[in-house]
Amino acid sequence: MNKSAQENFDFIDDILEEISPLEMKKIEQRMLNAEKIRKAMDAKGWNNTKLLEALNMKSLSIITKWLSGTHNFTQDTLVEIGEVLGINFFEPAEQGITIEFSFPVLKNKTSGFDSYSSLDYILNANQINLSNSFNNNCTEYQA
Amino acid sequence: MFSKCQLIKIPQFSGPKGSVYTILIDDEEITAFKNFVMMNNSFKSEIKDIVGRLKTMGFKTGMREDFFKLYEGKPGDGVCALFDKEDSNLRLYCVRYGSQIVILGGGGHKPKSIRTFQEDENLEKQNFILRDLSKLITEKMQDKEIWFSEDGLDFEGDLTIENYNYE
Repeated sequence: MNKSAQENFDFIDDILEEISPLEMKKIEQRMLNAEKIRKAMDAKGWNNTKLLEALNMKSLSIITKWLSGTHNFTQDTLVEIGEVLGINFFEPAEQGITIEFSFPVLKNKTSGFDSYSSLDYILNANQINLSNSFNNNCTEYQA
Repeated sequence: MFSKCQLIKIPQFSGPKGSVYTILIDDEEITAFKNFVMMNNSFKSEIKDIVGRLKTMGFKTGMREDFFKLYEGKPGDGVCALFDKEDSNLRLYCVRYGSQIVILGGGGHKPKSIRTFQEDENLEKQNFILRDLSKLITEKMQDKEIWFSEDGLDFEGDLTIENYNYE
């Protein structure tokens, strides 16, 4: 990109600075709610009309508005949508944790520092409980 | 509508979920999006909302179809507008390439008195620029002069689109 074009976008930084973190969070949440609804509809194979029918509503334009990412939902509406789609808007999103090892994972500890013990260390240090995960080979870390 | 158009990526809006481009037409020094913002500065809260939404798309959600008003151009050309609420004053035209790339064109004030963009000279002009651009990009893609990056997040190749039919 040439220099003049790059400079051309400084005005966006100025506008972004004018958007308070709270305002930005509201914009994001409206769009994330819309995305969550669409993904749940896709998972059920539902189109807009099907969602409308499930909610016993009449105007298709309201669904378009909900999905546009601009709608400020009431809590009641989210509960109603969540009920028919089988989703919960009020539980915190699950955090995916990926831990990558750059050395071979050993099934059985032999001696010294192996990958399981280092994994245990990370899990314990970050208070991550994998007790409900299947195939959990982690044990408490011991130096 | 134009003899030359350069695609320019907007870094502030482009993230892991998608890239946002705008256009620089002929020898103009101001991009279409900057011009849109400057011309509509009186609708400050709407501009801030648009900027916030574009950033969220690039970094959190991608350019989901639902976030746009589709079919604003010819069938299949991807020309659309950013979804505008009933009470909004602004219309911003775009060309959407799946959920990972969008090109922002121009737009402007959408008077309440008009039903279609053809009733407003500026909106009609902005819309037709993107129709022409979309057609030229398609041709350039067929000629393999421009293509999508492997991750689908970018245009690659020659991002200056010449319009040889312009008189």
